[in-house]
Order: sequence, then structure tokens, then C-alpha cells
Amino acid sequence: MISGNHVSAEALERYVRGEEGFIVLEAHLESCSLCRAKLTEAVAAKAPHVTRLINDVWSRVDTSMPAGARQRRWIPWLATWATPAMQPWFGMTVLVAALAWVLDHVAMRDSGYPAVLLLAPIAPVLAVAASWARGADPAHELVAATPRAGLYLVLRRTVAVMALVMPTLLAFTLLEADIGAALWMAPCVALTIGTLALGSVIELTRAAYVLIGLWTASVIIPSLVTGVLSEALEPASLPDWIVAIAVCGAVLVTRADAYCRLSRQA
Amino acid sequence: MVRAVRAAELAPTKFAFPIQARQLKVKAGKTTAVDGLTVSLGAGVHGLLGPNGAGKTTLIRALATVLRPADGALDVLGHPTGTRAGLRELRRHLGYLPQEFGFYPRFTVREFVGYMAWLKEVPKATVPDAVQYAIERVGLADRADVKMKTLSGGMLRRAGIAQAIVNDPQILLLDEPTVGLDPAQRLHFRELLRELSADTCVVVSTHLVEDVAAACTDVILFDAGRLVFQGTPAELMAAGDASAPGDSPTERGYSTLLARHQNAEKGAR
Repeated sequence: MISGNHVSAEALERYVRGEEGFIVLEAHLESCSLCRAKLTEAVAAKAPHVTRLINDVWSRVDTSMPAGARQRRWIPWLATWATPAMQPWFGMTVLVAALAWVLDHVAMRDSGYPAVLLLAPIAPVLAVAASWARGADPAHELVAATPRAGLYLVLRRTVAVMALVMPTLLAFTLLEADIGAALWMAPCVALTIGTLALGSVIELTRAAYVLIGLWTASVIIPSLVTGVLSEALEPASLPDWIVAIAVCGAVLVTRADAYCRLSRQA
Repeated sequence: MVRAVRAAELAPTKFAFPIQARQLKVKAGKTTAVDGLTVSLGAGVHGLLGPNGAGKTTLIRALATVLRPADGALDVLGHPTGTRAGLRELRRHLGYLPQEFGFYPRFTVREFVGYMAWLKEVPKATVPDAVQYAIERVGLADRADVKMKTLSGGMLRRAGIAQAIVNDPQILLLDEPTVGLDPAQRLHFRELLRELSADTCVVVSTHLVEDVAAACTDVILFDAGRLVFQGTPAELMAAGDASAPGDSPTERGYSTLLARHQNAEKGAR
């Protein structure tokens, strides 16, 4: 009845005519698309009444079912990278960069270096912190009890922030012809990873405030007061930033468990 | 939905009770909300009953591995929850509905439950089926593709229950799940609980005594972080004095036991 690995044409024909019901044959049909295709042909050729019946059923099912809602395919994918709660922070980051640029061009600030450069390194820090803060994400309580809660999810969201912030900053700095992207990109990455590393020890939002405070006090204010760009943003300090990235990265990896940590209290 | 049985599911369990607490203390802020609780919970529906501020929510959050025990031991599915090892594996088998659960208003119910399924590491290929099944079980199939912000309170709660059961959990923790449900939905919910209770350890916190009597196999009466009573709903009813306040035997049992416990506490002080 089943010759080789497939159903013989003659057995299929008898099955279609309803002469015999073969349990073995049906079991094979369930798992074999080739034989199902042959069955379809056999039904069409030998048993038109079955085809009519099936078409009739389908048309009735079609009219009785409500039209399926259109599924937004990109939403489930996007949600695994960034939550809707992060939207305003994305907006804020872009706005800060835009404001710095406006400051340079409309306010005619005349200091020899663009303000975008001062703000760029801290631009993603708040958005990264907000992506994992209890207060900023309404679903945080739900997320905290899931297996994915942990460094992996934090990093995924960080990558999403960076994927939006970096091109924006790049666009603004490219408008200033004479500054290289590496000048701000290295401190930007270092501060972001530093926030995550510090956030594994103290709360992530606090870590963001600490680093923003440090940056403001040691780079932004001196640069504005003296009118000379801080050394931290000179090409000469690039190796230091790379060392900082490596150190913070190492700390983050060793402290990874802290991100699936249970809080002792709410 | 056909699913393969994994070897891990057939392995003998290494624990006597899915939930086991010994001298458990959990803090909520600075106060000790759960204070020296010793309790073992098996399969079935366990009603966590107690007045407001008894520490029900704190206990559920500790069971959900959101809070770490301050002292004592809490083993869930054989994993000590105080440590980080094995936490991820444990969380795959948890379903949790917080009392006030946040959601993204612009997500549809299906997107929300699907997102939670992703977070719970449900195998990608089975997510659409698991989501549909969970939504149908809570009776929300006709609203599956409607945005969350348009749902009523009772529907939101059902969407919350759907996300809790989407990973087919071994432990299901529901904090005040019947708030906002109308009487018909409540009946439906009790039926769902009974269905789940065959192979799941369900912990339902509530302050509605009649929910417990109708749907629970086991009652845990809880006050000021301490265990007052553990037994069947029938035993709770039997404990009631005829003179105690309450309109039903269960309510009288509840108030009798609570008053007795509070008097004993006062006496001890």
C-alpha cells in the first residue's frame, strides 16, 4: 500500500473513492507534503463532488469569519529593542543636540569650538538610564519577574538608544566641517558604558546623574568659563577614553548578575 | 497546540513543595511586611487572605522574585530565591500579575501578550499560538487586536491574566485579580482557576472572602506579616463563631480567626 516511502497512486485512488480508510495512509499524509499534493490531484480528477464540498465549506467559513485585524509586524520586533516608554527620552536627546547646534549658529557663540561637542558625550546617558528605571517604565514590575530581565535586556535597550543617538549626533557634528567624530564618540561610548557599570553598584538613574554631574563640572563648565575646549575632548586624550571603555566594560561584565538582582525593597 | 515534551519536564522533581518558606522575612521599604512566615504550598489554588496592609503584596512580590528575602529561606520550584543562580530558569516557569500592572497603551492585547511571551523566553515558533491560547482562555479573543487604552478595567485585568499564563507557568501569582471584574467575569475567572489548579501552584491574593470560598483549595490567612491560619475553605467556615461579624460562614470564620489572632498578639505584648 505504501511503496517505498510514499503512498502508491493506486492506494490513493481507492482512498479518494472512499473504498477503504487507511489509518496508516492518513498518518503518512499528515507528515508528507508530497503525498498530500498527489492526493489533491487525485481528488480533483476522480472525486469532483469532494472538491465542490470543500469549496462550499470554505466559502461559508470565509463569510462567517470576521475580517482579521491587520497585524503590525514591526511592533513586536521593535518592542524587543526599545519600549514605548523610551520614546520621550529619544525625543529629548535629539532636542538637546538640536539646541546646542542652534546655540552655535543663531546665538553666534564665538568660541572656536561647537557646543554640540560638549553635550554629545552625555546625550545618550539619560535615555539609557530611563530604559531600565523603575519609574520610567510602567511595565517594569512585569519585566522584573521575567527571565530576560538582566544585563542582556539592558544592553539591547542601550544599543537601541545608541542606534538612534549616534547618527543624530553625527549629523549635527558633520554640519561643523572641522570636527572629527572620534572626538566625541569615544567619550560618549565611555560615559554610556560607565553609567551601566556604575549602575550595577548604585541605582542606574543615580549613576546617570553622577556621571552627568561629573562631566558638567569637569568639562562643560571649565570649557564655557575659559573659552578653551577641555583637554578631555582633544585628540590626545583618545587613548585614555579607550582605556576607560575597556575598564568599564570589564566591570560591567563581572557585575552582570546585578542586573537580574532582586531589589531588597521596593 | 501540539508541543514536544522535553526531558526536563519528565525529570523527577527535586522538591517536595513548589513553594516553601521557612522563617521568611521580607521588607517593604523600612517595615518588615512579611515577618517570620513558615508555609509550604503544593499544587492547587491557594487563597491569600488578609486585611489591607497584611503584607500580601510583599509576599507575592517575593514569590515573583522581584523582592529578595531579608531573612529566612524561600524556595520556589526548589530554587532558593535569595541567590541569583538558577533565577533565570525559575523565572521561565513563573506567571505574575501585579496588583497594578503597567502596560503600553498603544499596544494591542496581542502585541502586549506577545511581548511578555518574548520576555519569558517562550520559544519563538510557539509564541503566536501561545498568545492566542492565553487570550482565548481569559475570554478576550474578540478584543485581541484592540489597543490596550480602549479596554475597560475588567478587560485590562483579563489581559493581565493572559500575559501571566502565556508561558504555561508552574507557579502562577495573582495579586488581587478579581478587582474590576463583574460577577459573570468573576465566575468565568474562578472556572479558569479550577482548570489551572490541576497541575499549577496558583497563589491568589484577595481581600474578598467569597472568592476564596468559591475557588480555592486552600486558604492562607495572613495578618501583619504573620500566618494566622492555613487550611481548607471548609475548615475556615467551621472556625467561625455564630456571634462573629459576617454574612456568610466564611466571613464569620475569617473574622473569628483574625480577632483571635489579634487578641493573642496584644496579649503577647
